[in-house]
Amino acid sequence: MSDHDTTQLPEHLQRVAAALRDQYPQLAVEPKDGNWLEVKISADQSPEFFRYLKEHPGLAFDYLSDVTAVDYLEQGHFQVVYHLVRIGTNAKGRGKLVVKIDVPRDNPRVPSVVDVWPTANFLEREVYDLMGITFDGHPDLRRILMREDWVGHPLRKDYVDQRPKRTRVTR
Amino acid sequence: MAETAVTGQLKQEATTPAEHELFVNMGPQHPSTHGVLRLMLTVDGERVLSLKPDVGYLHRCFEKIAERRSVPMVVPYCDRTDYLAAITSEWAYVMAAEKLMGVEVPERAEYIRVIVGEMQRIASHLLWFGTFALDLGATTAFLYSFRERETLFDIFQKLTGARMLYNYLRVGGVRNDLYDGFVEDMQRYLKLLEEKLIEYNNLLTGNRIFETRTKGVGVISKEDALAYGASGPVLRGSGVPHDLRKADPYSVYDRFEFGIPVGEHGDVYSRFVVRVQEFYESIKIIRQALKDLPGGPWQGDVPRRMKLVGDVYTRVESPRGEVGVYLVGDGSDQPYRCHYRSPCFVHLQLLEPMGVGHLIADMVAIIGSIDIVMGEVDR
Amino acid sequence: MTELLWGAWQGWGFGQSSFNVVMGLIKGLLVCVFLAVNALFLVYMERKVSGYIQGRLGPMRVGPKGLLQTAADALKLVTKEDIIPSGADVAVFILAPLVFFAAATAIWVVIPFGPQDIVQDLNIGLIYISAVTGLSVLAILMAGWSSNNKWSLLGAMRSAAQLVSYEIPLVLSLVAIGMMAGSLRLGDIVAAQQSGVTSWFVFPQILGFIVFFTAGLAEINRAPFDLPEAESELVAGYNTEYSGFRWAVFFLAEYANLVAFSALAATFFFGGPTGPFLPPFVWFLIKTYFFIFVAMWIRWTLPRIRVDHLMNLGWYVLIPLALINLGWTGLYVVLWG
Repeated sequence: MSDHDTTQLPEHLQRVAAALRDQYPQLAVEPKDGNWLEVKISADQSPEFFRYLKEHPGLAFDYLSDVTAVDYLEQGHFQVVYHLVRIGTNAKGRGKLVVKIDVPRDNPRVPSVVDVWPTANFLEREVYDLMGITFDGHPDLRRILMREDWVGHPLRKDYVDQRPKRTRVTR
Repeated sequence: MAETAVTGQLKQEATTPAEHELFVNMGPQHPSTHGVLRLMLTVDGERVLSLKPDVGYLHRCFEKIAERRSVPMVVPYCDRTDYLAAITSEWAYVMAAEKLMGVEVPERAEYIRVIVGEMQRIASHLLWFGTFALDLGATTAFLYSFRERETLFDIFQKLTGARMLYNYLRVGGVRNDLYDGFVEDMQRYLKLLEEKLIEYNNLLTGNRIFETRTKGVGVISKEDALAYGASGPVLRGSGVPHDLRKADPYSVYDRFEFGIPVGEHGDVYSRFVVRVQEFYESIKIIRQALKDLPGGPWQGDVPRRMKLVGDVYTRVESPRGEVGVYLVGDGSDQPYRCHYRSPCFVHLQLLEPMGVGHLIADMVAIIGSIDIVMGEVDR
Repeated sequence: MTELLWGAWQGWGFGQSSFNVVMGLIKGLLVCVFLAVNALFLVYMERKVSGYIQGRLGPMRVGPKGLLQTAADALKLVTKEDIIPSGADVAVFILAPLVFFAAATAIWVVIPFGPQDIVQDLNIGLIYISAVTGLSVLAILMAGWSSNNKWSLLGAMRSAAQLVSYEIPLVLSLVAIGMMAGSLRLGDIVAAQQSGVTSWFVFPQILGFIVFFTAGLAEINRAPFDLPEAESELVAGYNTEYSGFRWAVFFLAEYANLVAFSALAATFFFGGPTGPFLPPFVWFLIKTYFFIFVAMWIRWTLPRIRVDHLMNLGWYVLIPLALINLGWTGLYVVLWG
């Protein structure tokens, strides 16, 4: 699907796409299963883009459902994935939004969205902990699930367990 | 343990409180933190001045394990994330896998899923009711609700073979059909539960001590609840009528009549009322599903060689809130990436705005009202 | 009985004062035995009562109907390793359970088992009671402070806060009893209620009884006022660091307190050991165990009250009630007394 081809979008989602285009004309909006829309942005657009999503009256994504990341080792980048929805009357027909940001593997940095949605605090810490992506501007970026002196980020595809080998006592 | 800059700073903060302050570790070994939640509290007398949750004591990296297992092998691991509501965790994952493989689920299987899903909601809420009462010091309510929970587990055991961790949902359907007499068993149980719920209400709801301990405690406003990503009964307790079963209907939930109980004040009591009313809504749904239960197969056509292609995010309303699974496939039969969005993990952030300024005794009530399951937080 | 012994004592050539000492020791020993037997039975009773309230059986395995369960538990507690935390203030840590136990036993000096069967019928009985009950808070503070554990300390502080809010209404309700009987001596209080049910103080003193019962439950740390050891909030409160035998002493003393509180409620408001047909001691036990049962019933029904609500209850409800009761009692004594 090309950048400006929005005719394939269902009727009610086109308004969302139009509101996105107002500010970001180059944006590719793709429909996905179950009323989701997918957009890809670059890391330097990040906090402004999200603030626009939250504050623009036609978009008003007030609820950040999830932040996660995927390690595409062969393509050579990480992808940070945000899932945004609206909560309120008539939210059902207005679509939900997946925002994806590709970041290079050698210096994975993304601006934090904590000041847009406070939910992101723990979710970004989890991504930092397990995938090793730094969120700039995060108020308290520490490991959350792993031990604080853990070496490496387990969810990376090239992660090697650094712990000393244990002898097996049972088979 | 090696001391990093961050831990050093934390220790510094922890060990040098101001003169009238006391630093207390609430947990990981504490009777009321529902497992191994650790709260780092600074208190003045019993008043909480600051609060930092610390999690990860049960972490086993379910998401990494899932990457090394074939699609159906992940389901038992999903059980063990939210072990008190295994069906809904399975459901979110199974739905994601079905979408990536394009598998159709037969109607009967969807109905069975709804029935066991709502049974699971009842079972989970029964446990919450008991432990919440126990946190407030009412021991008897705990044993009453466990009695009914065990009766429900008997039905679960007859149906699935297990009492808590069922491994019952399959990609494309459910593992086995309902047994003969399930409908009668269930109807008898629902009747019993309705009688007992009145008893529970008499025991707790109108009690003055209970009301003074829960009303006005742990208040979270509508706006804050949304901003902090609350979901499920916590969000509804703050007055937002949001339920994924209605707002984003999955499976066959759009065919049933049921209401969304909503609280008014966003305090512990509102969340309590919402959950108690959800018992009745679940009973309603199960009754309708049992009445309309269609015949046919309970397992759809699933390709022998499972292939996951693309990525999908599915959301399910669990007893605790919004469970999401983000599944990425690369064409093999193993998930390339499987992310589990746990409502409790997100709800932990609410403890700080809810709890600061309250007493330690209130902290216990607040944790109980969020209904935390550490297996799901740490995964 | 006493005369017989006195005769024998004189026969051996000893005097009055030494006889008093020996008799005091014997009576004290009897009280201790009574308390120990009661505590053993109460643990069993508590489990059975809670069991029946909660729709289960309670202990059934050790001995017939689980009767020996308490004995087995006591054996386990006594044979446990004696642990003193390394950071603890050892002397105070060891002393605290003893002080607690002493306070619990000391009340029994003035409690009448029968019209004449009082260990020592002090003429300041009521004052003595209010003084001794305050002592247990000291023991709890000692335990909480010496454990060097933050939860213990919080529990001890709660106990101290609890003391100031419940002790005043308690004493005020006792003052009304003293006014009714015209004496602070417990023997006289029992004697004043001797002529049947209508002479029981509970009828003119119904307000006082409510105040006494509520404040008394708070005093002996029974649920819903078990704040100093609220296990779901403060782990185990002041006895978090206690285990084995020392913990058992706390446990024993708590049950001794429960019996004492019930016995006092029976003595002050329900005629104590007086009653028809049955011997006084049996009436004493019946009335006492009725209140023990009520206390257990309350414990297994209600949630725990919060510490600041307890204070509010004490200051805003119980003290005004007790004062009203005091005025009413004065009026009553002047008009009909």
